[in-house]
Amino acid sequence: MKKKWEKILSLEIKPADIDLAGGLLAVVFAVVAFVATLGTKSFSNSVIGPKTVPQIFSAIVFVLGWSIVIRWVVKRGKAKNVHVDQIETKGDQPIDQKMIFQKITPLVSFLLLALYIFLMKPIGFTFSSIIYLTLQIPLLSADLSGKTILKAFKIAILASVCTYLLFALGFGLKLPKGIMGF
Amino acid sequence: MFNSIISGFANLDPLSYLLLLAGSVVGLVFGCVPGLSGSIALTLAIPLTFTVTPIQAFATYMGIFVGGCSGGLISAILIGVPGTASSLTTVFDGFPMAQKGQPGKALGTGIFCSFLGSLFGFLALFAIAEPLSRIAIKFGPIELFSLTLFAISLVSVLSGDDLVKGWIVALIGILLGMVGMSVVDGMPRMTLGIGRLNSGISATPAMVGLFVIGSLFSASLADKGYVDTSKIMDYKIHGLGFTKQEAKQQAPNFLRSALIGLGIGILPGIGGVTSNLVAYTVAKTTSKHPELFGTGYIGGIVAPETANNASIGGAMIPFLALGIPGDGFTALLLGGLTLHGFIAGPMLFNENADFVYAIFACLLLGAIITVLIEYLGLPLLVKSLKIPKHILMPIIMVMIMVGCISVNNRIFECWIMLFFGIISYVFRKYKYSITPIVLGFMLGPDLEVDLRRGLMISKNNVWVFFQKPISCAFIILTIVSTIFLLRQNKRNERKLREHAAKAGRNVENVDDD
Repeated sequence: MKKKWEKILSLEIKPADIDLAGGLLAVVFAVVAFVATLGTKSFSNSVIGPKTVPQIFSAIVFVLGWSIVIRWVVKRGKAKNVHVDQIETKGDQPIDQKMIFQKITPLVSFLLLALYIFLMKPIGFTFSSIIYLTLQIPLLSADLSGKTILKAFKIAILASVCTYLLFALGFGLKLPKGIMGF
Repeated sequence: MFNSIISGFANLDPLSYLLLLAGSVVGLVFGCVPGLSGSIALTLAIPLTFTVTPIQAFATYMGIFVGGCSGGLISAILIGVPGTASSLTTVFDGFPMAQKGQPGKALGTGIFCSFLGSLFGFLALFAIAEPLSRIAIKFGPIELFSLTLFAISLVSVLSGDDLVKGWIVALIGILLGMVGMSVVDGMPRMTLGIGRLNSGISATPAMVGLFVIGSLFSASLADKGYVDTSKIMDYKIHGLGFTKQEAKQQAPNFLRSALIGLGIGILPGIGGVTSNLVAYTVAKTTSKHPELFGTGYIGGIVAPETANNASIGGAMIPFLALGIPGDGFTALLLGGLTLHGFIAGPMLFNENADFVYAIFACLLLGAIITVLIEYLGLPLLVKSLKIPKHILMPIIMVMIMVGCISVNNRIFECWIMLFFGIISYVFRKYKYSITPIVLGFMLGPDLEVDLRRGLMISKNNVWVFFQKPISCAFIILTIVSTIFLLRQNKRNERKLREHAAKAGRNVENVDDD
């Protein structure tokens, strides 16, 4: 069960199934893009209006996406036996803790970035940067011990304050101030 | 030509020189450290150079461009890990030469060839770009549509191993570029009801998301696995690093590699990475001693380092003359150009000649500054290899946030960056190349505008694109090159599979991003 979650979190799939996932991704993107064009208003007399080109391109992406899925189906049919052998061999390999960390780190890093951006307006650039760095540095170093977090916290304060002073006061850029004023 | 360059130097003020120096240093450090790249340095620099003049900003960018492309050889030779992908094959002979106790010779040869390669590319740029822009200025929307279509088709095919996936990502890039106000009608579209998207997606956060975020996290993780700076030996360079006889022997190899680098650099979407690989392969196959390649042979350093730097000038030719980026870096430069109020394309030479000549001067001076820093400041560059990336990358991320906020003084741009970062990560995961998205995003809106204007002129006659000779030639080129490169890809894929079967292992796709 744990292993299944790790696979989902890391978006990991079997190399043989990359075309399936890639093709479906393109299809989903094409559908979203096509739907997004539907509300576009046009006052043009021309045959080609503001939504014509995006709709044509969405349709092409849709067709190409399915072509990749079909290619996957054809390839799978040809090499079914080989894949079964590979899957069975891989299933027996021992799980390395560090590898697990590396697999889920990108997803957790994206979540941290989202949190960072979300917090920026209410608590300001400096504080949100301190929180982000304090969490991101130990995560990337694959070490969540108290000592590493403390070290990351010290670096975070220094880096965030210096960045704020340099860009907000030095270059005059407007950075979110939040409730604390910096 | 020389008068233009001299007038370019006249347009540089003291701050431009200072920023060029700073850009070269930053470019070298980012090029030198595996996982970082000149593109990352540029995405950081673009938003931070809002307040300076366009010439000062481009002095910084040009320094980063030349430095970033040259720095990769240092880690390739000293620790066996290329600083940037454009120094991939330098490892094959540079590292063994260093291991044999000649790191100074390997570095000296690489640095000098990078410098000469850059000069070769720049001379070609100075000679070709302006006449080409004079021809391109006569193009109307019909010809421009076909030309842009040709450029996007080349990128789709050349930047990956899968033609269909290449086209998918290029079209997705075009679709993303169309979000916001339609240029022809002034109607908002594809905004999903988000009012802040009415003005379109800002190029800088989008580029940062596509190019930087995924690479930052993967570089930090990879760092833990294989970068070992304890292997570095005494790397003092004596003289230029090589003998006169060796220089004489390698002259044909240099010239051939420079031409390869220049030619590949001109083609849209591919640059240093491909030129580096092709030049090394050609040097090996045409050499009288192919068995020496891979053992620490000087020819194996001359070829890739000359080619990757010659491709800088090559990539700048379509960028400055036609407004079509030659590689990922110039795609980012296109964003920088727009931010400073310029329109890329043939009119740039006509309306802002002083600015273009200043860019020429910066490139030339950037190459000289870079070679001097490499020869004199090598110990400092080697020290930069020891920076722990799990600390450096998040700090870079914080600076990127500053850059994104400063684009429009709003946090919304950070969300755009995150969205594009996720797109980049997911698409890379499923073996899509990122370069076509970038090129599609940058060129897509122009493609649509030219198509619609062309149809307006011809009163909705689609055949007009085939009736105009230049336009027809580009469409034929698009079809022929797609078919030719598709067959070439299939042949290469078959060869790779055969090699993999012989070696008894899977072959990973090499991505140009």
